[in-house]
Amino acid sequence: MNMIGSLNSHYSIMSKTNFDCAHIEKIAKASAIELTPELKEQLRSDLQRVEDVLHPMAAIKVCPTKKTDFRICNYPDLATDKHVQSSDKHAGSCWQYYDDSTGYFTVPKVLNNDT
Amino acid sequence: MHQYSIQEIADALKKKSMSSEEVTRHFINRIQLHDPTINAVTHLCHEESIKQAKAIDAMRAQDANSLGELAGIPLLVKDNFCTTGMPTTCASKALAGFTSPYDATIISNCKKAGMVILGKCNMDEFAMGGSNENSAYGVVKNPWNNMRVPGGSSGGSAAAIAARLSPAATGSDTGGSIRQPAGFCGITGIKPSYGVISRYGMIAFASSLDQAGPMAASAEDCAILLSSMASHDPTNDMTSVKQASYDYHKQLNKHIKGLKIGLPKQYFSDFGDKRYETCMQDAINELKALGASFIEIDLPDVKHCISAYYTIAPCEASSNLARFDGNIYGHRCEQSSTIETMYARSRSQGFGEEVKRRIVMGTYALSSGYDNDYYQKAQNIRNLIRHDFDEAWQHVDVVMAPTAPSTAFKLNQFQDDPTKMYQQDVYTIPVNLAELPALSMPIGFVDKLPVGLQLIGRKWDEATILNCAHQYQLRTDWHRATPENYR
Repeated sequence: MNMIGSLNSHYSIMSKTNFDCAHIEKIAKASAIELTPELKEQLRSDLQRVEDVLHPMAAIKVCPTKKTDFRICNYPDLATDKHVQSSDKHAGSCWQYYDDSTGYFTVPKVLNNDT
Repeated sequence: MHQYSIQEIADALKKKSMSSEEVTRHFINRIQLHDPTINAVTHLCHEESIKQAKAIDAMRAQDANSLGELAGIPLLVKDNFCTTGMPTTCASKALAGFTSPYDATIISNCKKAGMVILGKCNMDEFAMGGSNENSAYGVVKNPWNNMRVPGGSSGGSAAAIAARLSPAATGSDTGGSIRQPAGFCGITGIKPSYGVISRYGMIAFASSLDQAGPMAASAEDCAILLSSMASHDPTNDMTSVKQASYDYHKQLNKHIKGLKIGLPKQYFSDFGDKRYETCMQDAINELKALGASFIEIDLPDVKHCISAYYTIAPCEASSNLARFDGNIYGHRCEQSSTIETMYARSRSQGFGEEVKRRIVMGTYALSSGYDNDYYQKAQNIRNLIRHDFDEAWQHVDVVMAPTAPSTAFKLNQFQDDPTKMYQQDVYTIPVNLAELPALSMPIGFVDKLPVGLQLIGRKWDEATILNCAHQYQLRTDWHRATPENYR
């Protein structure tokens, strides 16, 4: 239900969104939820406040994320349960992974100046 | 009997000075007498629990050695754990009438240990909330003051333990849902490291954060319970980790001389209420008297925890709760022209306002064009917070923090602005983001309301924080305090 198209692709990255009722309606539709006019207005106001809480994340500088572990499977391979060699998650991964030898989840570098 | 610790009840059962049936009937009577005031229990398994208790008594008469440490001890279960033979609703209309065909692993572990399940506890709907005001079963009230919230989302479990309606309960903690209600109700509760207790059969809210744990009066009781609840679970291999030992009880009774405890400067700057601060200082003095030393530490990125958590949790919730569409289980609307309308109407009728709010937040943050800015960014901030703690572990063994910014707040206090409610989680959330173990224990009172203190440990090191809390509780009596009307 989250696989929706761009809700408003012209919004600049991490610019503050000004929610209006039409915007809320679109998100609610993508969430498969029907809203009464009162709840729509309530959610608009709530989401605006929540946006204020989330927005400070924009100021935090972190390394860019590279989706190195994604492996595209085509439908026939999935349908026939064809074995596909998984990628080596430990080699240069940018995702955290569980390390059997230490019993810890290993976390990759995050900050640009992290050593 | 209801003032006894789990160890004391277990000893009495072993000595046969009382039977499991007597214990079970005693707590059922207390639930029937007191629960109408606090609304902590949503389902009482009256006959089934007595049947279970009688079976334990029969087994004890035949071969006492075959029984586990917890045989005959009553347990209340938060309503987000799947249990056979009784409803599992997550306190939501969306799951009204649902009975699980299987037990969650934590429940089957408790049953294997011989625990007697008394019933299910009220909670914030789908574990979303910090006040237990978001429940289809109605608000839970704090036994210390009925005009105050018990905290949430495991508010029913915490209120029930505080009112001595059961010696033990299960809770779950996604952003503080065991520790904050434990703090508000003056009991002890531990959120273990992510992976210690299997999540199998715990209805998912935010899968990368959800963790089950025990709630009881004392750290010793929690250690006994955790020893039975924790296990490696082949049905949940991804997030259930094999450990060398699951016996946390045996690891109590070590002195804490030389234990280094960190005080994050971000957490001990300004409490507003001097009396709250005094409780913290008194607890520090007690631990110093036991030989622990304290140093100030820096966790510079925890200030971003609310933004990161309220991105990650709603995103995962939006995805997890997509399954509740009226099609397979749960509430289905009566009239709809198309299947899409049926999904949307069933969900709209089933979910409460806070759940809808978080689903919409999550869908928005995950939508195309925003996911990198929100979800990925939040995951990176989560890593920064982990790094902060990793750095702290170079210098200290335990980190101390308040459980909440204040004592239990008033009912409806934050109903007008959800973000003010979210800010109440500021001290508990970093632990979930970093997947660490942390417990909350009572350390005093302000205006006759309990004050909670958190002890945070290294990943997989539940034993150290449980032992530290146990040593503190051997010197103090705060964990024995019971609200006046429930003695």
